[in-house]
Amino acid sequence: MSKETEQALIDSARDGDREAFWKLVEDAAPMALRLLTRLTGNKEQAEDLLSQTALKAVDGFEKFRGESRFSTWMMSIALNLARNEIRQSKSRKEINWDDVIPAGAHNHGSESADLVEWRDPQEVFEQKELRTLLDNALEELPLKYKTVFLLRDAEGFSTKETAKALGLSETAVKSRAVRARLALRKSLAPHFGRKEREAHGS
Amino acid sequence: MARDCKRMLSELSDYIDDELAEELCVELEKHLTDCPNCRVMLDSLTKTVRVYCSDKEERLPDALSAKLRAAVAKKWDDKDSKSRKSHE
Ligand SMILES: [Zn+2]
Repeated sequence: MSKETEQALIDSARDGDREAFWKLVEDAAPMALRLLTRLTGNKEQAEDLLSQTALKAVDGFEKFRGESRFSTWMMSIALNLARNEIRQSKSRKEINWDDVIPAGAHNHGSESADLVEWRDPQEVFEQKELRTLLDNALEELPLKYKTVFLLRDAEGFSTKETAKALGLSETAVKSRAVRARLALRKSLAPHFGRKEREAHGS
Repeated sequence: MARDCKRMLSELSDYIDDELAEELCVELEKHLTDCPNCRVMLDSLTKTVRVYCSDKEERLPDALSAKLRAAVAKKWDDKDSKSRKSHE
């Protein structure tokens, strides 16, 4: 949805146009559902959280000041709801730099197992198998990195909008994004590295 | 990984986002020409990001959409009538 269309709908909704408000929700809902599904790992729970999100958006619409995109605002509601539901998970864990960069070798030229060239993941695996691999890798990420990665990379939010949705500084978003990418890369490397694929084929 | 390469890692991420300053870009690109390890890092990081952003469903399933729409409409109308009452 273009910014202009969005603004027009927001203005109409503020004047009491229910249909305009629904259009805004409808536009953001698929993204919210993807996010909630990936965070909870449970389709039904995600759908339930989505409707809670939409109802909270109705309730809090006066508080939406238009400082971010409507979808960003809805994502922040969804994330807050999701966080409460999955609080007990390992959300406090940090990603250490040394754990996610390829090991073995302060000496040049030595090749460690996760520095093998990658195949194109979509060519190596069936869609369903790939989905499982990606979900499992994501599952291992601590929550605060996962949320940044899902917004910033999976949904393509800018650093700025990600920061707004999560109430973080842009520096924090960047730092978490780098670690999240490196951690996921490391988890996926054994599957997508060329050697692994050749082993499968033989 | 060599120390030089470690230093390049966070820059690789900015490079993928096209947010790396020009002079660092030049430095990184020069390093990449000479360093197969960092080329693998760049390629695999790019693929990591790409593989997660593909395959996006742009619409809700019809049944879910209808349910959501009805719930939102009801909430909207309830709120509307409450605020009208409080103004009377
Ligand atoms: Zn290097």
